[in-house]
Amino acid sequence: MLLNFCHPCLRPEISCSTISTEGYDVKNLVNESSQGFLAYACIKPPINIDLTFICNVEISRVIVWPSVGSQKSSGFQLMAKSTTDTGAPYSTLSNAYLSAAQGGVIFYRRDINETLTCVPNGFLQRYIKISDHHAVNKATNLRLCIVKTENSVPAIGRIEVWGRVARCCGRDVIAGVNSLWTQEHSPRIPTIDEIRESPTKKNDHDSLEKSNCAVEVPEDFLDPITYEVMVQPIMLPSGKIIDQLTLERHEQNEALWGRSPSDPFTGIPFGNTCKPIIATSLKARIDKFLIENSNDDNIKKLPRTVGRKISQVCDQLVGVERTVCANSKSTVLKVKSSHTLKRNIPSNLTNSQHKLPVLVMCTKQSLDLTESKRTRLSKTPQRCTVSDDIDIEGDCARNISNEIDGDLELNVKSVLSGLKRFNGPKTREASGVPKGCSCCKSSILYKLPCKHVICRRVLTTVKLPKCQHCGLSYSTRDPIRIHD
Amino acid sequence: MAAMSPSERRLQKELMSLMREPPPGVHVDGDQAGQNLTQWIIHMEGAKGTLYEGERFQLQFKFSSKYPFDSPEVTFIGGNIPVHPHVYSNGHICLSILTDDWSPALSVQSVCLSIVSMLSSCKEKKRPPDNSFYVKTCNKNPKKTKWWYHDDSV
Repeated sequence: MLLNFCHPCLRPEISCSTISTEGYDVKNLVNESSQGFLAYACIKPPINIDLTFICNVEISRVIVWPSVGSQKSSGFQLMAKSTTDTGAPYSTLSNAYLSAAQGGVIFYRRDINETLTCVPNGFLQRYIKISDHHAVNKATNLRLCIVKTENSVPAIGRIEVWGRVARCCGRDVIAGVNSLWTQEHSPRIPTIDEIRESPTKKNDHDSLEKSNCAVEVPEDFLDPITYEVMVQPIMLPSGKIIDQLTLERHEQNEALWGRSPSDPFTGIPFGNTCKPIIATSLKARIDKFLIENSNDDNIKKLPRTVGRKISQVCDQLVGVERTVCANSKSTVLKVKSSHTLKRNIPSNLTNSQHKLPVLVMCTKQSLDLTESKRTRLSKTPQRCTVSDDIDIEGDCARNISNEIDGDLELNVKSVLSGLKRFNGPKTREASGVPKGCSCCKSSILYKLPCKHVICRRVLTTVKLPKCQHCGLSYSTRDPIRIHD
Repeated sequence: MAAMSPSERRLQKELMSLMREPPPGVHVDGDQAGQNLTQWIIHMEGAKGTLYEGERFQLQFKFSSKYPFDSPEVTFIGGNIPVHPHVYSNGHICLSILTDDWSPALSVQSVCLSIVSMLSSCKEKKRPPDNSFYVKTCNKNPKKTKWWYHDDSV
């Protein structure tokens, strides 16, 4: 960031080698006045105007507006020195002689490749010589010498010295000067331009140096054990937050030693009163970060929670609403699921299923679905829990509900088969499920997602992965071996 | 940067922090570890005011791909293996956090500190009582040994 060291907020001191016209004092150049400086009428060049800066300055450019009214200076010499010692000589940085058409002069450094965005039209451009780099890179004093005028009184309308705090200054000085500047300039107009430019700049950066400007991931998004961005942050009883996957792996290892799940940081086993909980707010912050930076290649590759397998650890988590059921659609699914099962799935599942609390909260957008559902339910001969209030009957509703039922039933079955329940009874498969395969009793048995059991022989020979009892299709990795 | 495996990622982080802020008397061979992240040599000095003051030891850390969920294999190597009731003359260390009590929350730095403190708390320089038998019969990998931690004081 370049600062204008002539701005009043950076408290420059200014003096002049001669007297000025009343009301056009040289101090006008460093305060808010727009009058400018005029020497006394009879004064002839050369005239030295000396600026003393608040700190050492790395001068980047100096812009001089030489006119006050019709008075105009036309020849300038720019000098600087790096010490406030009054006896020390100035070294010349540049000279400029303006023609009548030129409205001013800008001195700038050739070695700093900054675009001269704010060059006013018709200004003479002059390089700053770096023969004495001390004078340029850590100038404390700057002298603008008016060496020539066009039949006029020596005059300066305005002067701006743009630069940075010199590198030799301490951090406190740099911070102090910058804060002085930003206090004054926080709502300054150029920032709007910067904002407007920034998206394009960002894009350039993205395309040019993708590898270099990788998005910095905040430290607290990283798992303290694996140093990777957490997918599902979980707060341990010790207060540390780690990823769910890390905790799972830790528990697997603990199980190898025959120990119950414990806090990896303290070794204290989890109990009823000290359990890991999902760090919801951190999860939200990570998600926000991932979404905001989803254009970055590195961020793109990071894992997300969507589609993540629900793990055993979650069984132990307390007070957790699974995200699976978070949106309204799945609420509908849940409402429906309990009814569908009651109606269609025989004894074995219904027994346990009807003990589950039925969610009958529906948001507005899902109301139409549930209504048609309820309509249908009220028509079914079986006993229903929600057959009381709504009584919309008709072909239309029936057709819709029939269609929806067909689709939903499949979905519900597949969802239910994969979903672990946290509030339901654990003894789900205790009753009713046939313990053996229909064809043989002694073989190795496998359990399908629908809880039906088949033997190895059937499993390996069957062409279509579909349960023979209920017709639910499964994928090849679903069957689980049953160990007695 | 090439894609790093999770264990390498963690090891890289640990190496950086160990080189930046080593615990007193511990110094990691950064070049060697940088070339092969799965095997580090750590130089260690006996702490002042202890029986091992002025002695220098080398520790070898070997990490499996399961690190940090799996404990590192830590042995003393080189010419000077400390004479200590928990250190066998082949360099194997009888320390519970290296096997049973390992936790992924532990790190190379915490293992080093544990070993320094184990050495520092020693009252008498002697080998473990079963040293000669163990050294003859043991596996090369100390993690394969079924340790029997008989002294909880150190």
